[in-house]
This record gives sequence, C-alpha cells and structure tokens, in this order.
Amino acid sequence: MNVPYTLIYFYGISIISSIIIGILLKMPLKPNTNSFEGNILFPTVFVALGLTAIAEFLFGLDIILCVIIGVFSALFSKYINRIFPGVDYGN
Amino acid sequence: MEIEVIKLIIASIICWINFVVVDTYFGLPKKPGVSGAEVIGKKIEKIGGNINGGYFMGNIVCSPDASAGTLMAAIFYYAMGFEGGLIAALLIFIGNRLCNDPGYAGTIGTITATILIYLCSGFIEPQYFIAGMVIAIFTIQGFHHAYASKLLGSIAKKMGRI
Repeated sequence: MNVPYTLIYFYGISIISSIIIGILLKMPLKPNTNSFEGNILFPTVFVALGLTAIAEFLFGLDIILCVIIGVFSALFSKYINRIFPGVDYGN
Repeated sequence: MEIEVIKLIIASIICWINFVVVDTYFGLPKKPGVSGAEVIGKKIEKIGGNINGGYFMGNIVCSPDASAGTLMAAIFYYAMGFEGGLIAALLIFIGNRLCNDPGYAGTIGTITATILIYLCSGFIEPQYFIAGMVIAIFTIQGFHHAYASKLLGSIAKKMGRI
C-alpha cells in the first residue's frame, strides 16, 4: 500500500492546531463519556479530521486552510454544548 | 463464487465484533438514552429477554451508534476512500447529538470501522462490508430478540460495563 505522506502531514497540522487552540481555550483534559461537554480530544480531533477530509474533496489542502480548520473545530467543540445541547433524561 | 461468500462472511464477522465491542464499551447496555429506548428495553424484557441487552437494542434503534457508524463508514469508504470514513465520523457525531447522545460510541465506532476496512482493503473490498454490516445488524435486530438481548447482556457483563 502506498501511503500519501503529504496528506498525513496536512491532517496532522489540523489535529495539532485544533489541540493547541483547545488548550488555549481551557477545555477539559479528561474525556467524560456521560457529559455533553466537549474536551481536548473529543470531539475536537474528530471534527478536525472530518472537516479536513471535506476540505480536501472540495478545495484541496494547504497549510493555512488546515490551521483555519483546526481553530474552527476547537471553537465548535468548545461551544458544542450550546450548539447541540443534551436534555436531562433518566437522571 | 465461493470466495465472495467467504469474504462476505468474514466482513460481517468483523463488523459484528466492531460494533458490539465499541457500543458495549461506551455503555449502551447501561441505561436508555431516550424514552423510546426504554420502551424497547422493557418490551424485550417482557418477552423473556435481558433488560440490559434490550437497552442496547433500543439505543441502537434510537440513535446512530457504532452500528450505524460501521454501515456509514463502509458506504463512505466505498464512495470516497479512507477520507470518506472521516467525513462519516463527523456526520455520525452530529447525528448522535441530535439524538441526545454524547456521541462517543458512534464517532469512535466509525473511526475503528474505517481503520478495519483500510487494513482489510487488500483482501476484502469495502462493498462486502456494506453487505456484511446489514447481515450483522440483522442477527441482532431481526433474528430473535430475546436470545439476542441475552447474548448482548452476557457480553456486557463479561466486559464489566453494566
């Protein structure tokens, strides 16, 4: 299998920039599977990966775009609890 | 002809293990996420099944967990390659949130399914995983509810997630 190293490099930039912005935004470090709050790894990393994949199909990737995606996915995860709030059920 | 059937069976076993392990690990059998899942769990208990397996099956119906994630990952991988699986994970996450689910099971199940399909891509093509996941979900949701819920309950007990 031939591995496309440039693509891995771009996806890596998106993930790392999203994690750095997540740390700057003081998101919680530990994942809590019962809470609807975003944390550093979830869903930040998965949003960054998905958005980078969409951007690759639509525009093609470059470094600036990957950093912008990282910033956006960190902000999206920081406020995920307000964008898609959970409701209390069975608590 | 025979080789296709063997590929289909192997793909459905991989899909079954992927979604059952991921969903059980992230606590689907523990509690119902919405009232529809609770109704399904209680109903399955009434016909002689296990309540935790019933909650598992109810949560699968009411929210796109690792079962829907594996199916979406196979479809997106077939259509768009490895990156398609990553897009599927994002869409599954949004679907989870719309269904009052934190989204861990669905998103991580989609990513693990994408990785498994990638690792198998030399031997089993992605279209076998689409058919294999349909078979895998049929063994849980369509075949025999009471027996399936008991099996899921005992798997959850063995993994210590109840």
